[in-house]
Amino acid sequence: MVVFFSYTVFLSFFPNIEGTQSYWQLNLTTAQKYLDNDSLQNIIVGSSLSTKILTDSLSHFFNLALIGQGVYDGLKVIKYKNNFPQNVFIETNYIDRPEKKDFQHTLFSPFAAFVSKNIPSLRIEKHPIPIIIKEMQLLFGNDRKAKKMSIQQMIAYSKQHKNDLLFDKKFKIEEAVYSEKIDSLALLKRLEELSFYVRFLKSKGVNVYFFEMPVNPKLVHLNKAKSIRMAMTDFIKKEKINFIQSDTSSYQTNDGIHLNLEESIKYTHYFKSQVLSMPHNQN
Amino acid sequence: MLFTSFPFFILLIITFGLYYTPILANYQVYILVLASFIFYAFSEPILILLLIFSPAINIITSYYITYGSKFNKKSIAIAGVLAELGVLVFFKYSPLISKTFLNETDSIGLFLLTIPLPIGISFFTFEGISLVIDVYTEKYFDRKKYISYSFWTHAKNIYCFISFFPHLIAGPIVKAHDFLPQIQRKTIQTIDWQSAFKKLILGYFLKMFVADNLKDFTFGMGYPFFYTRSTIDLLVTVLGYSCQIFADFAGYSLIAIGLAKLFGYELMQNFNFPYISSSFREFWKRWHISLSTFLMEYLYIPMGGNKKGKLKMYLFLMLTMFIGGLWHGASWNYAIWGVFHGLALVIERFLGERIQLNSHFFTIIIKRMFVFTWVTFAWILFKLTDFSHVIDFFKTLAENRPFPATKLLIVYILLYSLPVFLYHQVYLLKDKKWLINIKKFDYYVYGLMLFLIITNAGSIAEFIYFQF
Repeated sequence: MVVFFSYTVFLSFFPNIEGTQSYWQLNLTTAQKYLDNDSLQNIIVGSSLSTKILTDSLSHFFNLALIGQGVYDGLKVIKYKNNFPQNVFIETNYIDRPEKKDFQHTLFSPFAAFVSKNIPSLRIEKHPIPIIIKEMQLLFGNDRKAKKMSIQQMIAYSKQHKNDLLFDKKFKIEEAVYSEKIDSLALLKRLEELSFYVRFLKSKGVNVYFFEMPVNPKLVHLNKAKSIRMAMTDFIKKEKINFIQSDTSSYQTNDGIHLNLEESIKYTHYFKSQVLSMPHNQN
Repeated sequence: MLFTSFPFFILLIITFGLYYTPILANYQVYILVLASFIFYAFSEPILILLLIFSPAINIITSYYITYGSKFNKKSIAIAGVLAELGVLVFFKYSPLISKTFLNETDSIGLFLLTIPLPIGISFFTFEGISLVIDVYTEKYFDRKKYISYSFWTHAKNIYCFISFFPHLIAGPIVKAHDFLPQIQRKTIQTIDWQSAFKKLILGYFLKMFVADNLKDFTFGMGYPFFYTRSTIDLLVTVLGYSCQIFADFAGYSLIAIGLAKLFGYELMQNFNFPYISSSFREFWKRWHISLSTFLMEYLYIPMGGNKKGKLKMYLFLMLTMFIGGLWHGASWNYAIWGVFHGLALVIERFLGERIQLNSHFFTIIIKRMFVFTWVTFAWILFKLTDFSHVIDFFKTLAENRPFPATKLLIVYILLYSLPVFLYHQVYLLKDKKWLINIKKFDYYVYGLMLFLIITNAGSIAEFIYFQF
């Protein structure tokens, strides 16, 4: 009890201290931050691909992209909050990925919500071990170096440490995933779900936009990407939704699907220019 | 229902309250059976039918062995065991039978593939088998002493024995001769609170702090993630998985034992510091003790054990381990895992009769490390249930040497694995005077564990042994 109380007091003195150790925790923390913030105008929902959009370059944006998850968890979080943003940008790359019930169960559990709101030491991002590791990294590890680097230095550093063999292995896996035949019935079910969310958001006065994150050009024409793109083209026409045109220029990735830092900056510029030309910005 | 879930705590509090209410003292067994049924059916209510049906076989057969015609006892016992095995095979091994022996397009094969695996079936069917055999052989107790003449009372007791929620879905596998003598009226005064809470805290700590956090890192051992991990990362991850599987299962067993204590029942110790074993024989006396003693008592010894010559002993050993492996899951990988361990046991016995190693401290350390390494690598067969992936895993271990290690991953895995090593180390040093003195203040350690359970638990995950 003494340790617990001391830790709670410590956190109240250092409210910004936090750390996560897994994508699961990071996703929950991201969603929780979204739920705690009432003044958000533009929300991005998507998979880990969209986490590469750098929202610090976009004003009034919140990136609710969840690593290893699809758009439905993000959309459910928006629906759950019941305080709606002006615009929602939905990534289409992994539109076939179903929602994660256990993620929602953890996030929306009334007990967990109450506890995390009222007792800071019980919040996921306040777990002592990840915090200690993060602080140690800042003091002694690579994070200390990274913190001192400019973006150009970081780009140069990552280029210097690029491992082609590792890239090839990662790419092969993605190639296999993208070559898989898509389960059309499951996709249809997902699109029905998507349609429900889109109509719901529209009914609340939210502008909905779709966009596709760039991936390695070799993957673009494989089975999975093609099937999803075709289904989405029909869907967009049917639901009359605005779409951010895909950038056809070639992008470098870390593994075939995730943009590296340099390309993230490039795509964020593109995304920003497209957003500025959207109908809601024309008025 | 998970021991770590909120609904479980509600069920536990209500059951505990009702169980010790003086006015309901005559209904304690009914309360436990009802709570156990709710516990089992919580996520899939239809499964309750199986929990009613499977013990019903044991209830009827054990009753007729005791009070039926004395000429048919053997046939009834055999029929009872076969029926129980039939339930197990049908629900657990149908998909494996289909995949192995039937055509992909065969309608029977397709049907077999759709049969769901009910949670905990391997545990409660084995408990049922132990009842029928114990009652038939009378090796441990006089059958009329524990099989009530009143069929209703008998049924109630057996449902309590088999469905008792602390051990229902992941053991320890309770034997009839251990549990039935304990069924009697319990009072709150007889609860050993200190022991119960120590088991519960340690169990929850191993599960929620160690296993559930390690899980966030050991997923990298799975398919296809391992292809892109460096050799060092993979080796550390395998080590982490070894600690995770121990913490997960030993944690569950400790929680089960602690919960049973709250209701006045003693369950057998299921893990006795297995990673200090300096031989495979010792390992199997320390790991999943309730399963290894079950296999020993009801399979290896009845087959002939070591009474029929060395060659047959080796054969029985291999067969027992093969079946023990297959018990873990409907995949040939588990059978290979069993054979892997069986082979180690056979080689160890064979060599042990010819080579005598000294019992020098360093010899024991080397033996411990060897056993631990063998056991740890064998867990890969648990994580990767497709054998081709296991082969690929080992190929990747050799290929990915040039890839850089992920320091953060290694730090986290070692940190969360540390309690497992400390737990074993404390046991090894248990007789040291300084440790005995420190142990007087062990409540500080339990306090720290409680703090870490509350503030640093990993995301809720099913227990690994649930799938078995």
